[in-house]
Amino acid sequence: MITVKTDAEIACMRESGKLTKNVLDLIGREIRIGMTTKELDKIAYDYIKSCGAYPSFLGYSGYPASICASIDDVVVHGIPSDDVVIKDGQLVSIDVGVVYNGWQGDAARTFMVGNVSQEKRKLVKVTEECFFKAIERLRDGTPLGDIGYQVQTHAENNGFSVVRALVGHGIGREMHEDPTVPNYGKKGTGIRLKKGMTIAIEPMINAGVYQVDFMSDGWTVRTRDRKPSAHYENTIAITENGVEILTL
Amino acid sequence: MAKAVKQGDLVKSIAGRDAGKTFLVVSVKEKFAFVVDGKTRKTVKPKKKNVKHLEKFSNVSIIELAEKIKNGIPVGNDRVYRAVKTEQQKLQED
Repeated sequence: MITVKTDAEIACMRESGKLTKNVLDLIGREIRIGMTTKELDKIAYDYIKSCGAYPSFLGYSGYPASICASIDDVVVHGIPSDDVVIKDGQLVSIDVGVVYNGWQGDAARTFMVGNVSQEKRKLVKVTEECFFKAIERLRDGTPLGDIGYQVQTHAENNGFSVVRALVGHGIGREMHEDPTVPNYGKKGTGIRLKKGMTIAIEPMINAGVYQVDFMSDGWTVRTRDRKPSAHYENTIAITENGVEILTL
Repeated sequence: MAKAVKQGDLVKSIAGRDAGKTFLVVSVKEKFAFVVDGKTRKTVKPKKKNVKHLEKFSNVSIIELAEKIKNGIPVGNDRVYRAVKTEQQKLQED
């Protein structure tokens, strides 16, 4: 069931969104070559707890960490580990969720560490652009399919591909609510968005083929051709004349 | 965190003639999931559904059962039906 939030509820989500953004900003400042992804997880956990919030990923369907740290060919859901050391030239996608006063915030960024190749730079840039293209014309009454159409068109025009097996989602009191927000699709299809809906739009763009493999740990998702992938996500609220980004 | 339908998940169909029914995900291949419920969709012929037409029903995962069905190991349809129903009831009680 799709929930429509009141202005007061969106104000609460703004708070959790702000915390989510702060965590990503903090990680952006701290991330460096030689660090392990477990260290990043600890930074995020400590910050979230110090704000009186809770990391929504921790314990979600048994997920063991506060963030997802996905390096290069790992699309999403990379589990932070002491064994994963960040190296020069890598793309590190950090996905984080914060629950504050019962409301969720969810966002992700891909950080470029050290000397990153031109192709990877372009991939990260296009992934971010996909998100902003998707929200450009969103407003009360826009069909949901327009989001996927914009993301897919922009990514494919730049020679990249869009992951199909994972999708964006509605968000509110629960991290994963309705509707499902695919990054592919046809213009003018799907339900019409309404003022007060809150959704997480998250383009996951691959440099190679769109197919992905789910690893045996039950979480890690890697590109099938092991080429790099980038991820960018924000929680947004639909308003009468556009959208409000709650995690930026 | 991106939403993904995974093997062993209990899902609810939100589109098609089976909309509203609960299923167990036997396997996932890109944007399609193969689902069974032990009654209308039996283990010998799982239903192919687009993952965007499914929503996760609960955080419970019945991976052992799904793995057996995927690998062709005989699993009684009644067992699948009972497993799906039990989880459905638990959730309603909560």
